[in-house]
Amino acid sequence: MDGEVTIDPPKPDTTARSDLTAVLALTIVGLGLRFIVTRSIWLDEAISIAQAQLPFHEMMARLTQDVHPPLHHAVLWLTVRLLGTGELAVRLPSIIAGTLLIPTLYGAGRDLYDRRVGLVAAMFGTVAPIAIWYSQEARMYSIFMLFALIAVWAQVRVLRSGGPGAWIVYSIATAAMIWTQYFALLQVAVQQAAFAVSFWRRRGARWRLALAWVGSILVILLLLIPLRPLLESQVHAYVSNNAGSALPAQAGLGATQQQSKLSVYAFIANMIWGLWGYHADTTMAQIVAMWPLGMLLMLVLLGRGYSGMSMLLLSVAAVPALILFGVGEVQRNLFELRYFVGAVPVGLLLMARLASSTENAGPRRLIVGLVVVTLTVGLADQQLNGANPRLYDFRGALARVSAQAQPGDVVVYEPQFIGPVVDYYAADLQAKPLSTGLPLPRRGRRIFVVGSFLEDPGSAAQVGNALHQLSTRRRDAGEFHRPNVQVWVFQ
Amino acid sequence: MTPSTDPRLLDVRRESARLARPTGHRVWLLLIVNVPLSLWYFSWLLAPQRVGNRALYGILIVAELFNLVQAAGFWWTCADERSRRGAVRPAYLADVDVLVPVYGEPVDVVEPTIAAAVRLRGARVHVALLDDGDSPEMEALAARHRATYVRRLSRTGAKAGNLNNALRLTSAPFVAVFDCDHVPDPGFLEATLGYLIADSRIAFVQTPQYYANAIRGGLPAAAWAQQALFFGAIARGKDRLGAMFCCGTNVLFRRSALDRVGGFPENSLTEDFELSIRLHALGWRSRYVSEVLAQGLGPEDMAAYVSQQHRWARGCLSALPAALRAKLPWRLRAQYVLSAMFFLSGWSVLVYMLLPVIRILTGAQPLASASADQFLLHFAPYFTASLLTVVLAGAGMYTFAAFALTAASFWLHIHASLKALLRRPGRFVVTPKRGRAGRHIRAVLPAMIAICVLGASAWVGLLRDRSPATLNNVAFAALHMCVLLSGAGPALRRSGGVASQADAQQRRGRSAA
Repeated sequence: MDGEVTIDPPKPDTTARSDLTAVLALTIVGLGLRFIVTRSIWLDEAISIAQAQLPFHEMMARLTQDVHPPLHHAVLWLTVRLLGTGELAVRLPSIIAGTLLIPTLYGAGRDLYDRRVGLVAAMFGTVAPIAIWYSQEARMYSIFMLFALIAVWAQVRVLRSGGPGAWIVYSIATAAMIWTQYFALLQVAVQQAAFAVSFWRRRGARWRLALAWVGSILVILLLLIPLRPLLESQVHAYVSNNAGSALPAQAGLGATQQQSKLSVYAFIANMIWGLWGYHADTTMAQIVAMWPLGMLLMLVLLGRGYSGMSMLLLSVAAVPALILFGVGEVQRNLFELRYFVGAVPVGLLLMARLASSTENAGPRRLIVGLVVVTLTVGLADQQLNGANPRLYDFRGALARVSAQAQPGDVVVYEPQFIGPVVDYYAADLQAKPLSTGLPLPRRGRRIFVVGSFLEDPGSAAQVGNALHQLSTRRRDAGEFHRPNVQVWVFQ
Repeated sequence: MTPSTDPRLLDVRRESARLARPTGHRVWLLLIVNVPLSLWYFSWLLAPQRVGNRALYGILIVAELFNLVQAAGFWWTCADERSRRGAVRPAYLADVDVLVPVYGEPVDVVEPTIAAAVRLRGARVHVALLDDGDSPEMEALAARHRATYVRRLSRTGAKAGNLNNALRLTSAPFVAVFDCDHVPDPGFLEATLGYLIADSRIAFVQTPQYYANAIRGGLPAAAWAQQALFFGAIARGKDRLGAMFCCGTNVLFRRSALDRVGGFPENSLTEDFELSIRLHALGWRSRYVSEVLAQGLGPEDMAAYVSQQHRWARGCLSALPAALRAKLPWRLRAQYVLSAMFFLSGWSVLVYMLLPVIRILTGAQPLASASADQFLLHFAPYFTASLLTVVLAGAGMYTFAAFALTAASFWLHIHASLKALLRRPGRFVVTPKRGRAGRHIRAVLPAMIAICVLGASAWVGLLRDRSPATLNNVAFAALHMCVLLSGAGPALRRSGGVASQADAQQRRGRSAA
């Protein structure tokens, strides 16, 4: 209750072998699940892949117009050089980071609480839908999650024992986190505040903590110095571009996203996505409406006690989300799960702690089992349900177009920003955005109209006009649908 | 119950320290958050365009305002506190009569109390066992411990009458009262007597009513968690405000104060509460020592809990007019009213349970021009901050089980308030000190009926449609069901009962011999 981090002596490790086996098994299962990729390359991924194919200096020059730090891009650049641009190849760094999250969750859970929490956390991490989702994306979020967890774990170790090893790991993980995602600064701020609180409350060895703390800040700053020129260029570009992005947000569509103003339901939806994955809008609306069960959870937590460590984890998980929710009131697109996705593994750890805190083995197993089942159901729905508004099957649609297309056929697409994906999947086709005009190939050749994001009135009107024009001049040769992608064929 | 299995004889220092841990500054800080959040929520809720179904809106507003008053009273009480733990050394060795009223309780429950009472330090102690049960075993027990045995010819006035009879037979200037299951710590008088000797305006010094059997978990633990919130931050806050009332046991009185008010009120179900009003009205002061100085037994089964809570609710609500009429400073009057009004909270629980049922079955709802997310936006911060205040004020001792037990006892408050309103005579029922074997369905029957109604309406709602609005109300129904079920749980589980366990132990002992 006093908010201080409790110091527990290490317990004798008599079950290391069985734990190792269990974690290994979970890691293999987790790796398998992360390899079962069910979605195509997303817009941001396609852009990153395109950038990674450039010479390194050119990629870095392009990044000055981007809003992300360069660590993942550098890793991707190397991956593309080593393994090519295949879906699996470009996603391999994320898959590896996502898989490493499982043993890291075990280690953190075991170290911060006990082995039971470690095992349960690893179990949750194996099937956690968002951990898998971002493990299957050639972007930085999976790596961000891994570093975020390591940084928190190392900080708790620092506050417990203050050993140099923990300080070094904390400093490197923190710097790596910022090199991966700028929004990590929110977590860093929370963690620095935790150091301040700990310093304030500490009775003995206070100044030793302060000294080491200042030292770690200096190390972090030192590690961030090379980032400075890029960051300055990006800030300048961002301000010049009027702080906007033509790309749609990936997370958060439907009822919680399309509104111009944030609602508290959007906040709850993001929390649910963080743990149980992305789902159809109708499903989300139903789940979010059951918020009174959250009140029940709060009541159930009454009298359970809490440690300073749990409060730190809770702060790391909640404060960045709350800050971004506040910022989202001003700039809507900044409140997105992926920007505070570092909270996900910490949330899983807390959930593992909560689920395994019941003393009686029977109810405990039941609770843990139920959570695993709900996570698995969430995972299956996220990955397989075509109604998931974040599933855009460009791969399926363009594969079919490629299979049908003959030399001389033309592909037009709308909106313009799906161009990198079209280039990725249909590089050998003659494709151009619809906004540049409707090309008419010679008679006998086909024209494929690929439309996506048609809930946007502008895109819908553009595609509608094109279809109207084509239907008056060409024969309708059919159409087909893939999740969130439609293709019309004219001859 | 043997000395080795009696939880009242265990070391309680840790729990005592936890109970006395100051939390006022944290509550005060939260107050800065609570007030604006409450204003934000209620200014939204009370906006004219919010009126949906007029009747339901009115009922909701009454329930919400009642809760706000209770919450504000809680914040006010706990925002600052006075923690008295160090003893005030008495100026001289005084005489103290230690009164232990008994009415049919088992000998092995009473014996540790008497044995501990005669060993009290810090005064010349005269222990009297006041037996309204007319039991030869009690007489023998008193003789064994050289305590005075007092038996009444007429048993008028229940516990208060028993104590008043003893007051007439004894003469020490100070009087300690212990329920027969409350084993005093040897240092009880050392920790309390000094206050009375040092300040002649103080009428009584109250100490916590700790349930030692809480360590067994289940119902006693939940009942203790309820007590802990009161005997922690609330009692310390009341002490600061000079409004701590007597709780009937583990208390040391000044005899002259008792004499001034004519002894314990015999026509009340909560003689302690009413006695406190009378004493405070005459200008006497009270003190609270937040240290566990006696260990008792909480209700072991639901029937015992219901009996105890019903008596408290009836007694306190019946004393409400007396609190309003008495010539008390406004602070004390407000404190008494707040304490008594707590036993009306069952009505608000009923309102909250009925609203989703009505919404699902009829479509009528109290609020208009308000989407569920708008309601949540305004309500959630107020609810969260209020809950956090309870967590911090209660030093984490207030549990979900305690909350659920209160909620599942909603009907008690309703029944007691109706009886008090109709001025139906009540009967003093001694809380059983031992659990009875088996389930106690009758004690939670109203809660079970409520669960069935909520469950049925949720089912109907789910069959009818799965719209977010319906699911929101189904979730509210599920919330209430879970809370009620958890609160009623101890009554639904088949228990061996402490008495049966003790008998079984004895039988095993005999057969082993």
